Parts: sequence; C-alpha cells; structure tokens
Amino acid sequence: MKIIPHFSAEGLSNVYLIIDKKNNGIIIDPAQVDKELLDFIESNHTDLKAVLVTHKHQAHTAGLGTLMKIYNPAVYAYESSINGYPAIQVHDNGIIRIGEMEVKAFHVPGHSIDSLVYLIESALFTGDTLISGSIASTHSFVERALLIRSLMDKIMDLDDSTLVYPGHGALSKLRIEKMLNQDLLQFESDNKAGKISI
Amino acid sequence: MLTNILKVYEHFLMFSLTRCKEPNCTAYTFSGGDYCYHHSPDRKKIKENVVAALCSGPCVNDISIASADFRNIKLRKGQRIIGANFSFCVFDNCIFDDTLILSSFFDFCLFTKCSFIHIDGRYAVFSGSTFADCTINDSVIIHSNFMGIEAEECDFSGNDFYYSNFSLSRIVGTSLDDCNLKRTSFRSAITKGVTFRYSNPEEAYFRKED
Repeated sequence: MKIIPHFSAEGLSNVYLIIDKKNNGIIIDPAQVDKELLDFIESNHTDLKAVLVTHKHQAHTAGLGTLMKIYNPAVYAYESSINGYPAIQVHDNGIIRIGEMEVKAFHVPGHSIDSLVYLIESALFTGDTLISGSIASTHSFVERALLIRSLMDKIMDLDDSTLVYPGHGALSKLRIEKMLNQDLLQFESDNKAGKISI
Repeated sequence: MLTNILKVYEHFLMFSLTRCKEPNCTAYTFSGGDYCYHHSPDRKKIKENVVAALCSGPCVNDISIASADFRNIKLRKGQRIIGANFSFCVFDNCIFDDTLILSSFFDFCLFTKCSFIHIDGRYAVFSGSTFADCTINDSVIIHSNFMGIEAEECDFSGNDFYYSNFSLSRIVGTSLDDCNLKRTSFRSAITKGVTFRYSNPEEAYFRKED
C-alpha cells in the first residue's frame, strides 16, 4: 500500500492518496485538486475508486467537484450528500472494501457532527478530530467533551504504533499523541483532579 | 523541486503495516516478511543491508527497522528515505547531508553528533527524539513533527521549518538563526539559550493559547 500525503493550500489541509498493489486508489479529503495531486494520481496509474470524506467542511472537500468530473469515484461520508454530490453513508464501525483495502470507520463527533476517522491497516486518517499535538477546535465545552470522549473510547485504545495522518499539520503516531498531545493530557489531568466529569 | 518529488512518488511505498508474528510483539515487520527487525533470525544481515542501502543504495524505502544503532555512517549524497520507519534507533556521528526524507518516522531516536545539511524533508517525524551536538543547516524541513524533542548544544540555523511542530520540546543552547518559522509551533516548549536572529518567531506560535 502506498500513502502519498499532499499539502493543499486550500485551508492548509492534507489530502491523502492511498493506492493498493493493484493500483486501486482512494483519496481522503479532496481539499484542493491541483496539478501536483493529479500528477500523483496519473503517474501511479491509479484507478481512483473512492473518495472518503472525514467531514464536510470546505477545507476538506473543495476539490470534490473536480475529482468527480475527471474520475467519478464513489463518495463515502457520514452524510448523504457532499457539495451536492450523493454520498454512500458510513456509520460508526462501518467497514468498506475498496479494491484490496479494508477501511474501518469510526464516528468521532465534536468538531462537527459528521466527523469520521478512517482506519486502513494501521494507518489512521483522523481529519480534524486529532491533529499532531492537539485536538480539533469546537464551538462549545459540550462538543469538546463529546470529542474527547469519542477519541478516548474509539481511537486512543488502538495500538501505540498506529500511524496518524491528520487533516492538518505533521504526521504522527498514537504513541506520540498519548504522550505529548497537550489537549488530551490536560483533559486527563483535569479529569483526575475532578475538575470535569463527562 | 516538484519534478523531483513526482519522480520520487512514482516509486513511493509505505513500509509494511503488517505486524510481527512473535507473540505479544506489535512492531511492524521489516519489509513485509514475518518478523520485525528485533525478532528476525538474521538481524545482523538485515542491519548490514540497511547500512549498505543508506550509504550506497539508490533509495531507502518500504522498511521498518526499530531500535537499531547506526554509528559513523555517511549517507550517499542525494539519498532518498521515503516511507521508512526508524523508531527508537540510535544514530551516532551519522551524516545525512544532501538527502531527501519524505513521510518517514524517526520518533524516539537518539541523534548524537549528526549532521543534516541541505536536506529536503517533508512529513518527517522526529517526535520524542534527542538531538545532542547535532547540526541541521540550510535545509527545508516542512510539515514535520519535532514534538517533545530534546535538543542540546545544536545548530538549527538557516532552515525552513514552515508548519513544523516543536511543541512540548526542550531546546537548550541551540541556535535557530535565519530560519523560516511561519506557522511553526513552539507551544509549551522550553527554550533556554536559544537564539532566533534573522528568523521570524513573530510568525510562530509559542503559547498554548496561540
């Protein structure tokens, strides 16, 4: 499996192209479809089968229309429509088979109600829910608590060596996030001190 | 630059994400085989091959070698390290000058007296590593993860660290002169005796609230 990260100037976000041994391809979060990304797809002779959307914010979906015009892949998301394109709905613990790849989805709401995290082998595509060193911004304390609880229950139990491919910023591993993610550390500290209860 | 990156990605692979067959071992296998480097019966040979690949091979990719030690090696000029995992390794007196590091993991490593001059790094992970008496100069290391590093008596001058993350790191007696620090994060980092001459720390993030 190849995982090719691509930096998008649209929203300073990461787009990931994943290709299996038979050249079946997945794009995760088509923020911006520029020449570099198209060259990655074409130079690897990719048969682009699917687009996985972590959440429908424009910083992660603005390039979907371009991809649909060129490749017409299936779109997978929590919601039934992304930027007017019909999507196959994915729910918590849903499993999708794309080419030789098995994708497991986790619903991690908080940053947005439709936030999904995708696990392919040991690579975790976290969108905005978990980024290197912090967690996503939220509109309220309740949403922040919901996000942290979802991360703790569904994501942080995965193996330490799981690779983290976030929607923004640098790559990471779960081991690194467990040790150095300031938001999660702060939550644990507050929780132990009895300052919050969720 | 773009053409070079594209050429590299044509041959891009990710290290095998299959786990070692040894009971209770969750490490990744060396290169899609049955065992991780640590549990491989021919560890010595594997390490020799990796050293040979680093020093004279065309490219180092698709491998995972954790907790190995590399001493006194000079990587081939123009060497490309792509999609590789070197977690928990020790690099002593190693020269990485004029190399390309893409989507590779050097987390929780120990670097002593190592040199990284004119390197091109994207999506590299050095989190939790210790750098002692190391030089990183005139390099582009963008979108990279230096969270929780310990750097002491190092020279990190003349680099582009755009969008890299040094949060929770401890940087002592180290120069970060003439660096591009736009969107670089130093949140909750401890910096003692660190100089930022001719750099743009005003475009970096320092406090947790930033």
